[in-house]
Amino acid sequence: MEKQLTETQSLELITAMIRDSRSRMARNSGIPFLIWGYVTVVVAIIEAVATKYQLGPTWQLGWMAIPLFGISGMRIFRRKTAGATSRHKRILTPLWITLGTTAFIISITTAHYPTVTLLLSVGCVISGIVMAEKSLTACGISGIAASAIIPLHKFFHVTSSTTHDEYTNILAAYVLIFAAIIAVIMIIPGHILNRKNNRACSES
Amino acid sequence: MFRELNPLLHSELRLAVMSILISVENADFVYLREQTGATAGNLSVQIDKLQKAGYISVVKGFKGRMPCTTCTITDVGITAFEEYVEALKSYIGATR
Repeated sequence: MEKQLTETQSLELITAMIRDSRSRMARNSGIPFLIWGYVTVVVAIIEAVATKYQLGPTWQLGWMAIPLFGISGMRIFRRKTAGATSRHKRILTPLWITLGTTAFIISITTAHYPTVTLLLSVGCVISGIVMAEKSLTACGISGIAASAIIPLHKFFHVTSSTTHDEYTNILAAYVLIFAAIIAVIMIIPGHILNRKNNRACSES
Repeated sequence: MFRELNPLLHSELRLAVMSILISVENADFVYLREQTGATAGNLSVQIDKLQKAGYISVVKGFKGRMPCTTCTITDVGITAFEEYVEALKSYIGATR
């Protein structure tokens, strides 16, 4: 026989189910940012070293490791967390597919790091607003501001009298700045999200 | 005046399923079973009742080689759930 509830019990059940479901969805919500953040930063550091020591243009193919490892990491993550789809995903999944693909195309056609960081920072701001996560929004805004560092530095410090070796060192530094911005907009909020939501899950 | 409580929703497991589905885009059978703590057989029966009433849609597919049943609340289901909650509030408000 089905269990009949009182009115109060019904409302309590509704509240508990919605709360628990939302809590479970939020668990590990920082993982996608950590996957893409760490993959990008590690590849960028390797590329910075390759640029500084002028290891050759073949090393530029190393940037392809970002979509390769990023997509593989996301596949593993989705397999482990399958079960329910949050309402956020309907907005965020197409958003990040679009931004990620655009960033990739810009990277391989122009290697214009500031545009890439600007694009990804805007993505983080939008994600933070949709997910109501202030840390993500704040880090995204910081990334937008930090995206001006490279163009400003280039404007003031790279001139026609800059030697080839100096320019190589500057380029390597730009790649490291790119990595640092990615760390700010993705790795930091990723850890904050995970810690906050996993702590909330263990308390409930 | 008290509103009548929807008998289809005024049942622990069906109400639990609807509550979960209203807070997510969709959920599969395993997720619903884990969240509700119900047995597979009982959950299957209740999902069937909700589907027949038009409150949820059920899509049967595969994830790799494993069968996968995904449930989504329908617009009819959302309306019925909202009306049920309003009816509950009218009962609780009246007893205070």
